[in-house]
Amino acid sequence: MSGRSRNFVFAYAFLVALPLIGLAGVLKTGRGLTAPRAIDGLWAFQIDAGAQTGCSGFFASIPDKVISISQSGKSFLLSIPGEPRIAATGTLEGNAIRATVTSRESLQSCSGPAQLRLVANVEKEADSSVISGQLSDATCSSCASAVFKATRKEDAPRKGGR
Amino acid sequence: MPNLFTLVLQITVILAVCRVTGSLFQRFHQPRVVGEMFAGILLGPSLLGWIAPHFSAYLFPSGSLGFLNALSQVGVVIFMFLVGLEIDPKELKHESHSAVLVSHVSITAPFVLASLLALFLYPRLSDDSVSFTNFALFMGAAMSITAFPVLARILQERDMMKTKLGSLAIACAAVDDVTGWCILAYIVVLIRAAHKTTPIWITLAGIVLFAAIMIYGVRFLLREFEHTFRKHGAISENGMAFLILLALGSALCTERLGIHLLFGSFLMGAIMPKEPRFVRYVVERLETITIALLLPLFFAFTGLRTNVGLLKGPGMWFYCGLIISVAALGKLGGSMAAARLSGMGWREAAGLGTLMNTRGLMGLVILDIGLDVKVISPALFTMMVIMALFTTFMAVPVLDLICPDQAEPVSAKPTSLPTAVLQEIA
Repeated sequence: MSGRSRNFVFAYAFLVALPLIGLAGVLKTGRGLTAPRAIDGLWAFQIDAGAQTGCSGFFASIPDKVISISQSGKSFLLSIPGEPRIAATGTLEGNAIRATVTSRESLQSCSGPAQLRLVANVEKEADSSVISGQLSDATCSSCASAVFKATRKEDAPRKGGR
Repeated sequence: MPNLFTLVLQITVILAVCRVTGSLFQRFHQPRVVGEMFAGILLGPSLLGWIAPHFSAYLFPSGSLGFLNALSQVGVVIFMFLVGLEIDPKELKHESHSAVLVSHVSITAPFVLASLLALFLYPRLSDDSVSFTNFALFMGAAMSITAFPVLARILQERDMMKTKLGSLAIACAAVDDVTGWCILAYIVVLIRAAHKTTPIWITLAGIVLFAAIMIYGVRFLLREFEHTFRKHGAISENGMAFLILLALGSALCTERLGIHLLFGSFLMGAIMPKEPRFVRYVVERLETITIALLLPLFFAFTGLRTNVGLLKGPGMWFYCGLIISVAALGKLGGSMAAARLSGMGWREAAGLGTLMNTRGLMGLVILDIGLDVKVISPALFTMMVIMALFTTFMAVPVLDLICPDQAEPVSAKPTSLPTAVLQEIA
């Protein structure tokens, strides 16, 4: 083997083979990591019928009461299909969900422009996940919170392979 | 049924914005494709949707995006056929030791660094429906790809195509692309197999069998096209239509096998005859509609899925900066180190690293697949799109800085790259 070929073999082993062994180690280490719970997708939103007044009245008008959650790790974007003006941004910590509705056009509740807040938990029920919690208007102390429950619209999340 | 008025309006606006932005970028010596990629982002929620949500909702109603996506995907299928057509396996066979080392390091270095970065990003930007292995492998594939057409255009503009640096960069980019697509195919198979009842070995066996039929069977039949071209100096309309049918048929096969449409069209292009005049002839007949009409739709559709608004707070921008740094360190740094160890001078090695660091359109295509199969989240998609744009954008100014003069010319070996398509693409 010539000196040049020997150098090539050493360089190849050091810069290609060795990192590939390292890659195997990284993949093994990564298997122990846990990522936030998956809530991405479409959810059928059901609000407590008795509480559809005041600030929760807005949600009663959502067509088919379907909400879409676009998740990126611990943060997510909640939107209503066909309603581009309204969106909620939120965070997921463990099973706890918190979100604030932001809108380009003020949402009107019983006390004027509303500032809707969503506090909920995501739980496993049978094969599906359920989000249940409360909606409240931060600007209206006298308004009652609305209780809601959301169930996944898809049978199983079509996600990136586990 | 699609609303025809909306669809035609969308296409008109997209083409106009892409042309104007592409021309503006060309004024700053950037490849046109960088401007068109940027135009896509301008039309999406990051700018148009943010400043004029009513107009954005009118122009791109959610119900219409499926048709726009379908059109754009047809464009990318043909584009991938053209990219495959440009890659000449003979050039790869004659690689020197240094080319082998540089090309392999330019894949492994960003791949390993990306998987290390995945250890940090997975708990922050992914969720538990995605396995770490798939997440890390995808990040690696997306970071190790090189934009072959953009790179070739930059070399051509700088008259570096026949230099040692230029031919080395082209060979390495071809190896990177082929390897990157193979890795991506593997990941897509893994992900899709998780939702299928068919055992994965059947899928893999089907893919291997399909590839073998294409390489050892269909490839020889395709020589007939070249013979006809040599004989008549042209290919009839029927012949061209048959060629497109073959590309689409191959795309359908790979989609059916559980990989993706794009792999099939890329493979069909790669096994086509490589006689330069024949390649140029085919490319010239397919490029105008693909590159001037259909690819801007792809940029717009990608832009519509890119939402810079998702990067809220310094933490998200820190992740984005980290992704860009790791991508550049792995690709630019890895290629540069390997080139230096192979005996190249610092300047040439840095120039090669910079060229290999361009991800451009190929990066966007891979990222779109990743978002489709949901192996990456929307925020991570946005960060990776920014990374792909940034690394492509930085190529020309950095090259101006480190390689103001041309590198050492090599023998006047004709390149098989069709210059016309490269001019149009970029």
